[in-house]
Amino acid sequence: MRLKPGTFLWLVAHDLRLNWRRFVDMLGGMTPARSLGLGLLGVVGLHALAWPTVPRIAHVIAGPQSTPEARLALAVLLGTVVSWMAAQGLFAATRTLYDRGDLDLLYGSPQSPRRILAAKATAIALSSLGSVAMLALPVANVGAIRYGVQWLAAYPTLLGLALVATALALAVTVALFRLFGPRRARLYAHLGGAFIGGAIVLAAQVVAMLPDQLRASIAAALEPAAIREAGIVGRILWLPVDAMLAEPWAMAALLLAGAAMFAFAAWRLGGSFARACLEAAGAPSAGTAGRPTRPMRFRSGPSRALRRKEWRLLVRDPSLFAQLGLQIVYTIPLAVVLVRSGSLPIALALTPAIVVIAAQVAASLAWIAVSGEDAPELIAAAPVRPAAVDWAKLSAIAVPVLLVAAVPVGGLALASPLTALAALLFAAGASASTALLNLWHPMPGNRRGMLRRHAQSKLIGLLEHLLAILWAIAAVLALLGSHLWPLPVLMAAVVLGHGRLTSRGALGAGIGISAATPAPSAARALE
Amino acid sequence: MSSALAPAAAPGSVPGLLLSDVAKSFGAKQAVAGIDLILPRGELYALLGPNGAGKTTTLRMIAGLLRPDRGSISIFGIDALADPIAARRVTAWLPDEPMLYDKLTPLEYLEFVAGLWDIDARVAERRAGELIEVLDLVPHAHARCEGFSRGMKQKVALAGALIHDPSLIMLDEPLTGIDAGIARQVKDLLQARVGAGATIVLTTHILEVAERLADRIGIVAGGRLVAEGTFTELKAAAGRDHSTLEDVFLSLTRPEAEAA
Repeated sequence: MRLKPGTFLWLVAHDLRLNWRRFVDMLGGMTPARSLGLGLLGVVGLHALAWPTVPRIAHVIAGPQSTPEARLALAVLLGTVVSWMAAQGLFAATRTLYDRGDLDLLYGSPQSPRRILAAKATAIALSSLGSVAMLALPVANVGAIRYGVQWLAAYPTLLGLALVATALALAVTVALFRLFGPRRARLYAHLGGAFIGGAIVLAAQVVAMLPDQLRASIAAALEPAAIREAGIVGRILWLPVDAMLAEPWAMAALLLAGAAMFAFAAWRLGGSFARACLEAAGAPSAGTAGRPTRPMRFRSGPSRALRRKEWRLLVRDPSLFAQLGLQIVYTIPLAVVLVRSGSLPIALALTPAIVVIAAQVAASLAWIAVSGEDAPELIAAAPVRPAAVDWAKLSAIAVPVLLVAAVPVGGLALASPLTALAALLFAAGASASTALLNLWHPMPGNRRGMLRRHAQSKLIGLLEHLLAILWAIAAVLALLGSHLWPLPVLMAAVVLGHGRLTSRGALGAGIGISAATPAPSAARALE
Repeated sequence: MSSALAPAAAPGSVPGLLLSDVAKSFGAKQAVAGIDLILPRGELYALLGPNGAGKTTTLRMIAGLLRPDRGSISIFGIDALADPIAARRVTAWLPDEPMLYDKLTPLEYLEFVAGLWDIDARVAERRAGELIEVLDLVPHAHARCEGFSRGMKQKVALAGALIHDPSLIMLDEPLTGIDAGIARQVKDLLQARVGAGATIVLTTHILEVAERLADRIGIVAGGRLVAEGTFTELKAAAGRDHSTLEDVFLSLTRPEAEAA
């Protein structure tokens, strides 16, 4: 069916097509037939994975018979889902404003700004929904097959939540613009997105770590009678949980409320969003005022110049902080799981988390310094040996990695200096490993796409995680006094050695004259 | 006394740039098919040619970004293939897309580039001040480059290319996309550098720039240097005494079209 050009649905289809192509590009730019085949395989695979999982959570989706404990678990789960979707919406709305894409073309056309925003917002809502639905709906489908149709309540519930989350994201984006102006709005939007996304993960962990007594008293407050006593506010807050438990009135109310909020945001904010777009055009980020904050003294030396440049770029990139923050926050559950398992003392349980966080942060920063380099040809054309460039960049990223690790290691040192020393050494080994892997396998890209970098090479992503886990296992074994701890270190060395042998060359070597094969940017010269 | 507008002295008898049978292929496609070139010190040489003729590839080989398949490159007497680091010390390369960092200010960018070329901090600071002044960047010296227009970015990149006082300057389409005022500033600065003894090679699609600015013009087609000389010499070679450079260019790069 061909949609009439210029209509709302046509604009939505245009956006969804672009999103789909971005997604396919992330998978390596497959043909439509192959991506469809892979998609079907993914659907079947996710359903197969959901089959044994569903019985473990069946007690949660038990309709009116759900226990307060189950309702609490469901509330935390839905809270995570809606916060994730709101964070995604905030990132997407900000990206729409600043990266612009086709926005100039659309606003320059005779289409109404409201219709354009409504289409963009619908595409954002569908993308946010898709990111959750991909994992949640196979569970709902399997649940419906095995336990009853009430599991299909996930469909309207997730749709309602996606609409609510997108409406909130749009409102927050426009509010940030009005409050702080285009320059600072991007900074706060990125930080806000990371905070929203991370806070609920932390909150969920905090709830899970509460003493049994406290959790019981919270559960008691969630009895249907207690909620009724809380009045309309309580009912509204528990609407998503009731909808998920297949209460027809709750499903209808959530969908209606979501649609109303979404329509209001898209309709009312269309003009504001268009104005924000115009203001955002060419607006630099925060902190770009042309006044000198203090007299600038030049420093000499290539290594120092490279380090200073890397540090300046790092501290001036708020989106990077947000992405690094998210990486750290999403690693915390590992420590929580280990602490809750009770199999290890707390200090010991925290060590592998520190090692993994340090490895991830080092990998990300190494990717930024090497692959996200904005002016690779400038450096390649400078009279500096590639090895000196690499060393300067590695030493530049070591400082922020050390800063990230310093706080938890410092805390550990208070409890056990020996454990802290071990954590520091293994974290250093893990960081060096993942950083070197990124140095030897550069994947040129925009620094803003740090978290999406593994889409360029799934293998490097897997090796990065493998190295981090091997070093974390080695740390635990060493702290337990096992003589087997060198084994995972040896395995990490083998992985790293393989990485070196299959190296595509580092920054300088990849582009410089000493490279055997031209780097992508060098090859582009002929195009 | 050294200044931002005076390049380092080089031996007078040694050519600024000497290319001998330089060739480069990418797979089956031959980008540069054996180019010979001798540029004396203090010359501004314009390299013209249609898209894909091999101009940029030639400059990238001279800048040390690509290794030629064969031939030799000498920059002020330095064998650029045997000692690329020494060659890069006296060379500046300005590609068509400015190599900048959006989050750095022009002064920070100049400090970074001077650091890469290991210029003494005090000398670099002085030269940066002079270049900022000459290129009319003073009001923007402390603003991040991310909000700059293309012309402004091109000026910052040019300042970066000149901060280490290069003897050989290579510019790929330096005047594309910038307004007449900025173009005049860039042209004045380049002529001042040539007057002070630097050798400049530039590629351009703006034939008027080559005609008015260059001492000599080389025309590249199909990876070969098909003609070379002053504008008058090129007109004579093309057999068109009263034609424009555009006519000469088209007759040398599209002879079959001319014959028709």
